[in-house]
Amino acid sequence: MLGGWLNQIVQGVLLGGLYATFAMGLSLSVGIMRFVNIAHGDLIVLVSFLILTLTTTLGLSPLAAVLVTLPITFFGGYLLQRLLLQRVLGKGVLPIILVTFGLSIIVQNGLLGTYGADTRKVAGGSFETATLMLGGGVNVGVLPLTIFLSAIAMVVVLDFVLYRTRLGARIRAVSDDVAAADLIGLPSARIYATAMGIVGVTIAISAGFMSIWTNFDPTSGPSRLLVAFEAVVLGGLGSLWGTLAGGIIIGIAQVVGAQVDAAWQLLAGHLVFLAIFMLRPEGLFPKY
Amino acid sequence: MLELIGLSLHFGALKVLDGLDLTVERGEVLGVLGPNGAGKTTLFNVIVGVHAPNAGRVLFEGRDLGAMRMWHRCRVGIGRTFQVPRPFSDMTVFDNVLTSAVHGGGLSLAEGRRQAEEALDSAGLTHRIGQRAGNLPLLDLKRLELAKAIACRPRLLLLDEIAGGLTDRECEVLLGILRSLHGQGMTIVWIEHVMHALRGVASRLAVLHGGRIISTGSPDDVLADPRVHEIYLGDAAA
Repeated sequence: MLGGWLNQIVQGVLLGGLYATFAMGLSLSVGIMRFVNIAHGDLIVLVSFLILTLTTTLGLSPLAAVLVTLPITFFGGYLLQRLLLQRVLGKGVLPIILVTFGLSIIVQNGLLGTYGADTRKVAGGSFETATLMLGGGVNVGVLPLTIFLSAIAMVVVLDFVLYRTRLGARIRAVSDDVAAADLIGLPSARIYATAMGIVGVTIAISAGFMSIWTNFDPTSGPSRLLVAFEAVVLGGLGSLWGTLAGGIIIGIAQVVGAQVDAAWQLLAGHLVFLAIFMLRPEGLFPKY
Repeated sequence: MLELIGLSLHFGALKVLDGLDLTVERGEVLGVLGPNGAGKTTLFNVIVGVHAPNAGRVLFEGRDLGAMRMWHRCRVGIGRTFQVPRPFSDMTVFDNVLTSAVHGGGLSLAEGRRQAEEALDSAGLTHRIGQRAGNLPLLDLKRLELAKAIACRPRLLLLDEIAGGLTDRECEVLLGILRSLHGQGMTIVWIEHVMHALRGVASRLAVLHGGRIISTGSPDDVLADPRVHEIYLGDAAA
């Protein structure tokens, strides 16, 4: 019995790793550019379809397909920021919400028109089903474990880039005060675009993992956004480690909720989010 | 060095600058005076590109800055401090100044470190080098503003009420720093209300009122100008 619960909590932690990968890019958008990208989940789904296309039409392995998408999503993010989002940034809360909401609708309908409404999944082969038996009734899937370790690696790398590199210093300066940064020679629009390029890379990684682990369809984006948003808010704005912790808390809540009753899986995650949010609205490890 | 020709700027019906003309010579320290709302900070905002003027031109070393972006104006040699210090709060003092030196000064990382150390030394801030900028007291925040601006290696430095809120002793420290910068050949335009501070270093004053320069000349001449008395003290003083 105890082993069963322990196993469920371990599965929840691993699921939290996937949620943290969804949330990492959103955490950067919120923490650096101070806006919530309503289309974040749809962009993850869009890249998942791109990976699906690369694996099915070109015969690439999922890993190779993700590697191919990395530069595409970096430049996609860069251009999205430069050509669209930058135009409404700093003009109040509403314009950026409306623009990203519109982008979300365009992406969903574009995918529906191109791929249809069927649920899809990328085949991960034996990697998808391999399991490590840890004893005591705890079994760990190699894929979820890889995703969880990748989520930690993403936080470590992003933390390093933000706090130990010149690019990170530029990004933090612009994030702190756009006008003051401009006045010491920092081209804020370009720096924001680079940050959005990095967000694009995190989207490609999370899309790669999501497309192998779970089913997705053109309308899956909003549910991914919701989980990502909850993880970011729970963790505290601007904290990447907090985002990881937020993802893990939601993952555990969902798995434990499902253990009680299958219908409780999603609701349990939302209830735990609400409970923590009411007690600590600034999140667990806020930076701002 | 700097020529402002017929600068006008209005926000809706409010005219903030109204055909303003002003020339700043290379190597001088020009003090800018004016009552609150006269358009002093807005003038700086137009020079550095925060606001685009509705009419008029800004020439720096003979070059029309036109639609040049803010970050580019810094790189061509215009530095600026803010009236209310705006540090990158989350960074250390050194990283604040290093970021300015590398990007604004166009230096390599190694050169930037040397430049940052020199700027911090000039601003008298070496004792705070590793501290988080957001935790500094007011005098050190003002010094940090100055160090960031100096680190960009400007030829023209715009100071916006940098002595405001400082004690007399702190003000003397600041004046020493500014005299040293001026001695190194830097051109300075300084908006200030603290008159004794301004007189301690400015070679010329200009008084801004209603979006125009109404008086300019040596400090003694400007302070004796009846028009200046009138705007500060009312008709009775004239």
